[in-house]
Amino acid sequence: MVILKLLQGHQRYGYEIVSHLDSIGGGHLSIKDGTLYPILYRLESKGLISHHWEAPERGVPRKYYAITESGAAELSRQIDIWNEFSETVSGILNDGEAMS
Amino acid sequence: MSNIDKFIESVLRKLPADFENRDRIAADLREHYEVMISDGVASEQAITRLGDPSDLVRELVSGYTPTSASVLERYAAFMVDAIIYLPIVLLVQCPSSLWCNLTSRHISLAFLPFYLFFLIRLIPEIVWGSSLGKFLFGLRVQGLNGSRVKIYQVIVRNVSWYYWIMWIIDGSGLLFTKGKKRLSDFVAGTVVVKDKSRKTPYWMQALGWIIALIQTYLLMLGIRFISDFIL
Repeated sequence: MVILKLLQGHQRYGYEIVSHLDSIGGGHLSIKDGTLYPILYRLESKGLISHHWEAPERGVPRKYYAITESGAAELSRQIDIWNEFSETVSGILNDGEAMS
Repeated sequence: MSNIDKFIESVLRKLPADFENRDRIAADLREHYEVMISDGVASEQAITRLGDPSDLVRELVSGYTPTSASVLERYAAFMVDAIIYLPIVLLVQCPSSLWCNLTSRHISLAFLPFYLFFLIRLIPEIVWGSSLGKFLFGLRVQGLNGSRVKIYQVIVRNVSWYYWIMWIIDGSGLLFTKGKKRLSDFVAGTVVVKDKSRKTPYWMQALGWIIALIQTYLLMLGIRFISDFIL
């Protein structure tokens, strides 16, 4: 879900995704760079993301990943599930505090 | 060999032999590394950032199931292995009970196939995961999770070749088992797969097919000879 969110509205290359995860996650979402690719392969095989290569005039060619339409729909579905889950757990925790 | 070449080789070597997308994995890791380098990351640090090859492989193979190589190719590979083994078995070992006057020469001949069998099939399978026949057809024996085959597994999966009646029982597994495996492959926890880690030249496969066809013809002649001998 987090990777789909990072790709929403932005196409990014692998190193950029990992670096972004590092910077926004405060260290909680850090992963080894290599292990990003099995995740990307799984998302791509489900049709949730796609890729294309870009070769800049200077520098090395980069493989950019972008979210697909079905990826956007899946992200929206997962966000709804997450929000519902989060609200439920928060409700339980808040009740627990009130009870204690 | 550069650091990234070593890293990629280490990852690819740990993957199951029939694992797809090897070229893609190599290209993606190389691109990631080169982007890091162009961003000013030192080579050693870039490799460290990529992580442990074993962890990466574990992630890549999650949900992986091996795909058995075709029965026809496995049969042909066996026929190539049998280039020396089979005629001797058919002529010496199989009708050995029919020899009335066993001399010491006959006894040593009866054991000859067993020694050849070890040489031709077991040793290469233990060392490389492929016998000569499997090598020609680009096949490899591996564990069910894609791991390198162990010595005891090679022995268990080949023990039935020692006597011809056991071949038939063992081979019956090809007809009714999932993945069309020999029964001994089930017991050993092994599977014969198409090896995607190397390209098999067409001439090698063609050579294999020619040998397999000749061997099949010899096998039929041998069976006819034995049946004539018995009847």
